[in-house]
Amino acid sequence: MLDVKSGFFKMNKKAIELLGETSIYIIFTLAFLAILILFITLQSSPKMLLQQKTAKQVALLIDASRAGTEIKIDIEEFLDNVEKGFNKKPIRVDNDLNIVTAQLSDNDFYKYSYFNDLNIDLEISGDYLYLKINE
Amino acid sequence: MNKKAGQRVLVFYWILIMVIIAVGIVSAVWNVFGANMDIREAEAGLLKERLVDCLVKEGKLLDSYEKLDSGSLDSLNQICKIDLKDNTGKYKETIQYGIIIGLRDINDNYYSDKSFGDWTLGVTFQEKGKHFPSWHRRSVFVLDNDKKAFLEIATFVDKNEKNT
Repeated sequence: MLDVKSGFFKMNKKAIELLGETSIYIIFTLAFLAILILFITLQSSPKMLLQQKTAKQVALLIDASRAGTEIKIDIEEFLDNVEKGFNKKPIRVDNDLNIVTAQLSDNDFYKYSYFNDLNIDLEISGDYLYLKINE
Repeated sequence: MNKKAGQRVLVFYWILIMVIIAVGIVSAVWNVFGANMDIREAEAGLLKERLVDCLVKEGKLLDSYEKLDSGSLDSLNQICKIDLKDNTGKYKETIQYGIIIGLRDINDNYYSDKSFGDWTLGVTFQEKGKHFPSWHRRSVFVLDNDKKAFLEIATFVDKNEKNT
């Protein structure tokens, strides 16, 4: 009776040890995968890339333009990614500092400068961005 | 005892493999999505074209070349409407462009040159150091008061951190 009891306890102790090790292994693996997936999701978010692409594209268009040029650009993809509740103009031009800003949310934005020191009128209507380059 | 030691070694290898996989995935994702788009070459090309527009008309060198005061960003801004400062905050309003303009006769003798902004970027470019700006060069045949000449323009764009 005593032998059986001690054997039973011995077996349980081993099982508990095994269970503990396995649980730690599973928890560690899940945590590792979760961190990795979170990192990939955050990094591969198209928003940062989209802001940079749009700001640089607009800056290059301004640099390439002469006074009197009018440009219409399809920015549907960019506008689709603007965060809900974000009220500012998502693409802006600062004529004093010669900077284009592309912004999809309150926290994220991208700025790029251009050298063509002309006055730029920028308007967004529908899915399009309208640029008018003035003297 | 031996079995436990073996298990510990296995755990160590398991962690090592996980770390290697993580480093691989992180660096791949970082390279693909974290890299900047490099548009400096396009910028350097456009800057060069803007200068040609400002200085040459119908093959003739304009007065604007003479009016340009070498080294003066104000004269470049007033005459050619070009601002070489970067005000994005990243570079604390420092100049991120360099321009060298020269005139040479048909016997390859330079008789005039002007530079604007950080023209030393041209030297940095040749040294191919860590700092590696993009550049463009163009030679335009012009008539300088009926004298045949070549207008040489070299433009440099740094903006390293925003493009690499």
